[in-house]
Amino acid sequence: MLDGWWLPLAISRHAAAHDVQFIRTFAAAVLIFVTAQCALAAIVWRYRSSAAAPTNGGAPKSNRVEFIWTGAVAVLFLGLLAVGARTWAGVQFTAAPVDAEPIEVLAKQFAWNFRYSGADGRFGRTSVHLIDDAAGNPFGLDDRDPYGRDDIVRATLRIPAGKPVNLTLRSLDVIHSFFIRELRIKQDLVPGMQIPVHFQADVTGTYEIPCAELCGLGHHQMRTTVIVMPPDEFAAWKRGQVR
Amino acid sequence: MRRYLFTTNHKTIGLQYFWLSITAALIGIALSVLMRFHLMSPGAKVGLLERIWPAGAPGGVMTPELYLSLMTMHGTIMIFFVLSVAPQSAFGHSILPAQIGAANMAFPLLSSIAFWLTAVSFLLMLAAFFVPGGAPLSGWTAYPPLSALGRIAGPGQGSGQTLWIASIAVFCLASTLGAINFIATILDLRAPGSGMLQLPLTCWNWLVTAILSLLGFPVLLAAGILLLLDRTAGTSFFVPGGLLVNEQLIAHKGGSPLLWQHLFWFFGHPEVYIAILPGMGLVSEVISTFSRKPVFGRGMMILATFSIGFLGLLLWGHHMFTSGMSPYSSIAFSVLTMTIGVPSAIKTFNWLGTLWGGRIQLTTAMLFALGFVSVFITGGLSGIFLGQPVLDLYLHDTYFVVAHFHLIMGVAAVFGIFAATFYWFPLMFGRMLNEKLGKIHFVATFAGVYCLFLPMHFAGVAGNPRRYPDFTNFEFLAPLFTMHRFMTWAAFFTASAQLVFLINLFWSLRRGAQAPPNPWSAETLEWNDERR
Amino acid sequence: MTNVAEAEQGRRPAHTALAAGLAATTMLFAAFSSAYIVRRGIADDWTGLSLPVTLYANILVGAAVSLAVEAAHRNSRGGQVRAGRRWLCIGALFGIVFAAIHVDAWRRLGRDGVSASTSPAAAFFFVLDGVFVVYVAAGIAALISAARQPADRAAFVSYYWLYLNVLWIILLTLLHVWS
Repeated sequence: MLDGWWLPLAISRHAAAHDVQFIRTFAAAVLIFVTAQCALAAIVWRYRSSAAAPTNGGAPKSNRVEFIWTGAVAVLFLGLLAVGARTWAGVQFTAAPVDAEPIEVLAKQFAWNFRYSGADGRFGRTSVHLIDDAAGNPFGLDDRDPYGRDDIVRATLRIPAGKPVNLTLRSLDVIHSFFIRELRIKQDLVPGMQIPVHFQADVTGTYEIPCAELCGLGHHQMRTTVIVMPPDEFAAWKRGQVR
Repeated sequence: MRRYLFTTNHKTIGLQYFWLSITAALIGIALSVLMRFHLMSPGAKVGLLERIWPAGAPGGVMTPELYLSLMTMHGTIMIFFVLSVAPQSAFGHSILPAQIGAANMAFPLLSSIAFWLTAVSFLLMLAAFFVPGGAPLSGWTAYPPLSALGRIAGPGQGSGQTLWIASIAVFCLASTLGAINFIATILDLRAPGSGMLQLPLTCWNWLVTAILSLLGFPVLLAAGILLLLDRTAGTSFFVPGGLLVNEQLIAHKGGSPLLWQHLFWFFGHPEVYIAILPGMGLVSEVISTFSRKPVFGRGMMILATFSIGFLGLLLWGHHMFTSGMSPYSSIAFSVLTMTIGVPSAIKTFNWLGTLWGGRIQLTTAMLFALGFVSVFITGGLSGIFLGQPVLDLYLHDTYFVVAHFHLIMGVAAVFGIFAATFYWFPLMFGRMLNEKLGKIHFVATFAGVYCLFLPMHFAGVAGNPRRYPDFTNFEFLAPLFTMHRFMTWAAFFTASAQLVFLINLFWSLRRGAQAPPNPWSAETLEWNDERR
Repeated sequence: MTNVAEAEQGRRPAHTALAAGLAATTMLFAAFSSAYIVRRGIADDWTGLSLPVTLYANILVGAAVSLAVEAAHRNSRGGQVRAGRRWLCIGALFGIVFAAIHVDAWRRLGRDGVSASTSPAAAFFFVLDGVFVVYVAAGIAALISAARQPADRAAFVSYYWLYLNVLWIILLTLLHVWS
């Protein structure tokens, strides 16, 4: 559609399902919009009068008409919700697949950092006291923990295409929000909480990630990217990373 | 002078509220014009800015923190001091007693106290602009930890945020007292023969609005007190442990940021109905008067009003679909949200039903009432996107939301205020507003708001996040620059169109035609009031 | 309309206003209480707070206020305005004792080094009790004001103090259970 003025490329099955629901809702909205606005204009046009006239007596009412159009609206609105429910449930109610790639996301004013588990598949211990951005330790990895030695920490997100990914979202200071437009998902990162989000991206490419919750004066500068790579390239990349 | 200032005359108090909200609206519009200008030209040097805000606009260039503080104050001032004052308190105090055949509100002294508390609240809010660090930048929603951490979280988060909380707390008190007054007046001061069912729809809407205020504002007050304690008394209601802010470890521990969101939105959602319901009541009466027909389905309208009020207390969680709260709660909140579309649709249908077969007089008041219906339809329709969690995961915190609430609150509710002003000006000021200027004002504003807010939906659909001082950091936002420029010019145009209203207002106050007793041949009781 | 009916008509808005005001108050304390319940549930850092015993005894003091006001109401209804006035003053005295016990409790906790920042339990205690004492102060003022016109105002004040007593028992239970 109008390039840049509409939904971006959908790169996952969830995104495609989202778009189907979006179009359904959009169609309903446009239909009601056109009908209602035209009805309003037409009625005003038809019954406009130049002379002030005395009031008509009696209270008109038609219970049947009321019930019909009230019922129609109820069916439409709740129906839309019901039809879209399964898509949403797939995001919120299903657990991440066991083989999902685990990645930690840490947001702070005003940067994103990501941590991958390395060859041992385990994350090392971190401590907020050990955080040192200047020394390249934004997660506060504890050197004494052997599991952390192979953890990979980067400022951009890399994920394998066609494979499930399980993000654990954390924030260091205030509420931020992680928004990948092409996946149609958004999740707040709330200090004090560790929030899981899982998905599977199917189209390779590089996509921008903005922060979507007001976090201070640098909110509009909190930018990172997600690089969706062919799975073998991703595996090769992980192997080649040494801390 | 003292007699006017501390009067207990309900009409004078209504006018005091009216002028307070006009002042607030002018400040709010000015802030939004500055914001839209900055979004179009982020690097522009404006000497005036530097003179007013030397710290916020060094070299005349608006900093991000100044933009965010203007945005916070714009939202706060408009929502509280315009939309929670004019529809209910300004017009209610002016007109309600006459509509029910009472001599005054139930507690005239309380009316005066509530107004002066509101005025104090307004002054506290404006004071936030002038303290070191300036006004807060955490949005009108003031989410902690950002709003709870104090100066370390950024400019404006020191005394500016504290003043903001104090102002809101006083406003909560004022509104609760006002609500008590409205409820007692409507339930107990009706003249004999004025049964509840005979009351005009304006009164029913003022009643439900007062009930929502009564139940909602105390919760905001509680939240504000807890936030203030987090900032000043070392408590941790909303701030968890282990935070590292600006390289400093924060001493708080154990609090929940989500707790604030629940408390805030428990108030915040009824608040939007507080802003719109009085306008809906007025629109019903105006459309009826100028169609020369009784309201279609009056009983259903009253039922719809109560349904909206009742449901409105239960669906606050639709502001929190991405917050990290339990997805099971999201299901409940979204079902209730879609359900509230039903009574809203009933009202819309019944307005059309009132017009049907009528003899329509297109006075300015009627034009704004019809404009209200049009804009309410449009704004309500974007609601059915946002009420579905699956779509909200994408649209939350984008310009789609900004378009939605501006159409309903910034336009529809404001059209209700304009309609009320044109309709009741004869009763409030004894004169008529100029109809020709009124129509020019209406046409320009109607065109302007659609040009401004319709494209905004598409910015949201493209994923344009809100609360960004500038859009130059993201490639995906570049194609939207033209649209934002267009919207800024539409905003300039719409703001300028309000000058026509101001000219009309101030000119008519002095030179407007003397108003006959019932210029609109309306049928409600306030027009038969002999002791004007 | 007769004088009684007119008085009744004049009292009705006051009673509606009282009911509305108490509804708002209930929302205020409901908000604090739900925050309390949430906070208790989410963190494992809860340290209890032992409340001074006098606060429990305060239930009796509060009951005494209500009994005095009820006596005042009965008396003034029966035409014995002076007796009604006396009972209201007694009620006000008990009310002052009621408030004083709260203030004394804060002082005791302060002496033990407990303040709002000490623990979440303490924070909630001071918030709930602090706001409650504001209502007690208003109740004392209401008693003194009612003493000037017992016939009209005693009923009004008796409902208010009944509400305060019930509220205090609920708050104390809430604070006690998690102390």
